[in-house]
Amino acid sequence: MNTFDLIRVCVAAPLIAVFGLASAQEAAADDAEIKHGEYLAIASDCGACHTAPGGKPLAGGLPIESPLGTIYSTNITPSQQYGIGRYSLQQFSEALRRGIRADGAHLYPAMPYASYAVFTDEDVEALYAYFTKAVPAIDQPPAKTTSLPFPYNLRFSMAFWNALFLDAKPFTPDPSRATEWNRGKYLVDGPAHCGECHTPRGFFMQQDRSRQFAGAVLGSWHAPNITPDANAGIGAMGADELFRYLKFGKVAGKAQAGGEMGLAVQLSFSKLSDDDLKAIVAYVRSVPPIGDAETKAKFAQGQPFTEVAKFRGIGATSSSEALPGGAAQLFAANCASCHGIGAGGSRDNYFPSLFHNSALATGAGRNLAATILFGIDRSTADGLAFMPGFGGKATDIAAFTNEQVVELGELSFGALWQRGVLHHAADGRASPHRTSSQAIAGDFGRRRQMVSLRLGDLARTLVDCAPLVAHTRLTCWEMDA
Amino acid sequence: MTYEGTSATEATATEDTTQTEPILRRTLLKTGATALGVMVLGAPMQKVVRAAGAVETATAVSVDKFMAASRCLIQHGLSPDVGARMAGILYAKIPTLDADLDAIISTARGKNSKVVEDFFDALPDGHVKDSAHQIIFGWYAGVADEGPTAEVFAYEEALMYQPTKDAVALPTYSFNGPDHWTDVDPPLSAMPEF
Amino acid sequence: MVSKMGADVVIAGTGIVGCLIAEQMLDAGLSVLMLEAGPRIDRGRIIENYRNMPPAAKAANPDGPFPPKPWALHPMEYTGDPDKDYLITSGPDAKAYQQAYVRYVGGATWHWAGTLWRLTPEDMMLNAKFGVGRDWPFDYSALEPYYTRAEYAIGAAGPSDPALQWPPMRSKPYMMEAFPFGSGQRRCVQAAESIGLQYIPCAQARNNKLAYQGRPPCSGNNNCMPACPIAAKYDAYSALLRIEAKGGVVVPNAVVYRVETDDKNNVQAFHFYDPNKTSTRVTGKTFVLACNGIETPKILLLSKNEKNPKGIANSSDQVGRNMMDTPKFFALAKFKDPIWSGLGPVQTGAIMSTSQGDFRSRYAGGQINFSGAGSAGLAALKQKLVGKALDEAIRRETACTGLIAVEHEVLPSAENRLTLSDKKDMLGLNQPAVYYDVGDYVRKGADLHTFPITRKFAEALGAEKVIRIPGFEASQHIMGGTIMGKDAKTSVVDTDCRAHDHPNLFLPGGSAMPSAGSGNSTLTMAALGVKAADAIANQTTRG
Repeated sequence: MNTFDLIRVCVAAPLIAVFGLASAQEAAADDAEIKHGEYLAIASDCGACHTAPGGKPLAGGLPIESPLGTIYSTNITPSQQYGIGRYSLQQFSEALRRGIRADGAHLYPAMPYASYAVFTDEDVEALYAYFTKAVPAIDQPPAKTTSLPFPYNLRFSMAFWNALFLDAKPFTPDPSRATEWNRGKYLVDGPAHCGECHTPRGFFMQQDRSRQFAGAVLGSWHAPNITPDANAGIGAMGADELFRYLKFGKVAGKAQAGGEMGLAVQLSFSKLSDDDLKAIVAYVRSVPPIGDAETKAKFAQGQPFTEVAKFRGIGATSSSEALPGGAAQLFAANCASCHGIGAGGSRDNYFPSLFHNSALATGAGRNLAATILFGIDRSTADGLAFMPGFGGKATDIAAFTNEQVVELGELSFGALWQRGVLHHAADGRASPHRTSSQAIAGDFGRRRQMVSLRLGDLARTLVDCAPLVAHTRLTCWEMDA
Repeated sequence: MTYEGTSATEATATEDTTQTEPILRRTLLKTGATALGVMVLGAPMQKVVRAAGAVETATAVSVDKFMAASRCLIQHGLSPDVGARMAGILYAKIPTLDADLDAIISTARGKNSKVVEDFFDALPDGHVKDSAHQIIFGWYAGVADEGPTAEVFAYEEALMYQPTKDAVALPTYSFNGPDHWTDVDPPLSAMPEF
Repeated sequence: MVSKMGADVVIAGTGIVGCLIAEQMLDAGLSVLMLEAGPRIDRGRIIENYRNMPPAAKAANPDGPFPPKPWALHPMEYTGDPDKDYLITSGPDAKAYQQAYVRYVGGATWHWAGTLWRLTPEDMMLNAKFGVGRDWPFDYSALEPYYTRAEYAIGAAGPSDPALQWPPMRSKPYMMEAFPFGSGQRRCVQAAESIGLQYIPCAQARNNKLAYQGRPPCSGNNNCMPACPIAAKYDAYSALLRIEAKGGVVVPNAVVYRVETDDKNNVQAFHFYDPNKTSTRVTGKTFVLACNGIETPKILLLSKNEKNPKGIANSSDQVGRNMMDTPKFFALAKFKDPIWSGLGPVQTGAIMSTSQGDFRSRYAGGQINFSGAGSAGLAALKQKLVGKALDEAIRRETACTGLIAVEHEVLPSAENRLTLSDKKDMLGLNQPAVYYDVGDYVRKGADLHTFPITRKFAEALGAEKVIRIPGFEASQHIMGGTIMGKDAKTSVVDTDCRAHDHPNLFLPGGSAMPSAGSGNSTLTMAALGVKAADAIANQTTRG
């Protein structure tokens, strides 16, 4: 035995004592694998759906509104009775990558297994190790379980959908591309599942790969075009800026994450390694740019507010009379205290500018309306970014009518934005659940066709397009107009 | 940048577009001296607006003249919208205002003035100087007089809050995020631009 | 069941005390009806009202953004003319009782500073320790749990370091850390230390880098008063939205003018007028008057009836007596170099130790705090300066002027008394009148104790000049008018703020406090509200 062996034994001895028969190296490898699995779970943002608000971590129970009814996330802690404690690695892999439960039933694609299908075997093992060995078991069932009405309770119908559209395989790197690009593609297609929100959906609500990342509506929010197109997409954003967007949730003077993306930044992206974030950036900036009628970058739209002299000092001091200055004064009264009387935001950009701000220009004003109603609540290493809602909840510090939200939108962009869209985005309030169906009902009524899923008749059928809604997670399978 | 919309009183100082920017824009402000120089060279008067509530015998409000005189007296960015409102109020309040404005402008021009200190002492005492003080007061305080019932035409654009805007938030408006006040301790010499 | 006609618990007043009680009742499963004399107002409207005010009016009339309704008058700019003032004050310190409060839905917490001082144990034992004033009928340790619950109910940001706490006797930490000081306040810390005193952070009902209760964190919008534009500061209005979401009913423009009792002297109903003087009778099991320390005694006196000839709850003849506040004097401090006082929240720290000591057997203690004097624009314009000189004067005088405020404890005196004046409002209800004399106790305290220290403090800060503004001002901490005690002959309410005379009538708030202390009174009022809420819930569920 040489010196190194001696050292190894001395170090390993206590470990052996703890782990019994397991070898010291195995134990260390276990730890590393669990840590890796934990990292992947964060990258995959499992908690966003599997942890209910105020609930125990990963114990399920989050309601997700879908066109088929309410889907409740499941307990994925290693509870033997209520969770995945009895899952073998194979069963775990099937659920994660093929959408099939241990009892053989299909999962609804509210679980983005179509994206997770790219997970490598090694990563699935790491996730399995994390979930079964490190996540505390919560021996409670979720508050509710999914029970959809006929015919959607016939889970095996998903088998047909999977046959057509579940085409992803475990990722293999493209040897003609750089390591970083490959890593980015893996993360984007798999754990971060960007396409689930940012790629518009096709005829059967599958992701339309021909328009990858071209943007899609999710209830009250619009997941923007993140292709490198200079006007319709994020081409005007540099690599370093996109990196900072993912890590901190904001790029001063350009963009900030709200709604679902705010949550994704807080729970997931902000916790990834810098290298992984750079890889994601490299891949996203390499996909084909997809443009639209837009001729001006999202980051260059809007103008400062200059109307205060039109109403300052005008009108009697009153408690109840409407502000005489209309939408402009509504802006001054409620928005300008933080965003500045010129709407340029605060000097440190803690409060962002309301012009040259891509969020307001995204989705024909949909994100502006959603932000006004629901506010922002996002924490990263930079601290808390918070904006109260203005009518999304009964307890908001002020509540605007739909008309007022629309007027504020028009104030931001003049006549550029479609009144109708703002109206419909503002239709959903009071609860994210109502947000989704009402908003979609209004906006998509003309483009969407009401259909039902009939066995054996997929070629001629479409599913009613109402979004899946988590308490803040929204996915909509929008028919591309 | 212009806003597409109509305003009740359009005050166009077409010879100097930078002065159409309200003073709240944090960028793009030229120094007052340049603006003064451009203005004093005598741009034609573009617009005459009847004062609100003016009787037939009252002088027509010349917003352009008012803005010209204001720019002689104050070397800061001046909002034409505020000026239009203030002009209406002061024309109604000061019977000699039109002539006083002429006197202010001609005194400034006569001294080849770049800044107000170049000519202010040369203003004739009495109603001309009073008007000059009144105009300065109006731009700085956002009201036409010191009383508690004065008509307000500016708050955010009132100049008297600008000399301390690097340290003191204009009441109701925060200029930065949480805790921003902890680092604030600028010297007196660091007069902000406005 | 709750309707405009009644509920389990009927509460007059939608300020912090009324709202703390209301929310606790709703959480306990009881129905709640709240009556507010004044109207509702949107936060944005208040802010625009403020911005629309001429600068001179802002100083003279800080509640200008809350124009009083004729049926629910509240004090506005003090004229001293009884024909013009709503609250008519008299006595050597008449000016020092010209209170400011807001008869609007949400009450005076719209415009409060948000400062959260607790009383100290000695503050509650003035008589036992110093032979003056009155003792509380319980000690600090009995009140402490209610202080804590009140703090958590409204969101308090305070120091985690016990060396900085006031007092350092806490069962739970503050849920948010104390606000950091600006440069001016940091100099206060050094200056105080150099004269052997301590300038400590004050706890505040203001969100500090947390979105407590879904309200944004403070970003230094520099006008806590008249209202926080963003609701970072707690105001009862934000609680009212939750109360309504939980099923509480709030009726604005409902002026309670009569408390109706039966032959057993239980309260049977409140009667209120609407703006047209139409009267409505409201029944319930338990009744609460939480209208503030002036309006509550006023209603009790107005409601006198055959069985209660001196007024409701007034067999002791103490209703309206013992009116207290924390009379304060101001000192303007002028500096050669910028001190930039008053950045951030309106009150961030103070010297509190000057309120404690054996001298209290002879004269009053007080707190010393330092804040901004506001913009010097008008003062500089008055000097008829132009050009650069004008700008420099504005900058210099704003940066180099600070305002020191010194608030004192005042002793309860039967002579400091609220009565019904002969003046009547549009509803025919008598306007309140208060006779007020701060007493030699306070005058000596100011002359012998707090002003000399104030001068030393200002000098240690580097002030070139200290100008004491003569006289005392009101601090809007209205206390004493329905004083608490064990003996029904000498007090109005018991230890739960229950009226001695009427077992189902509660009078919680500042008016119940037997001693004033030198600190802002709101947190103590709120703690008494929570304590009363426990008793109300108990007896209403049982009854």
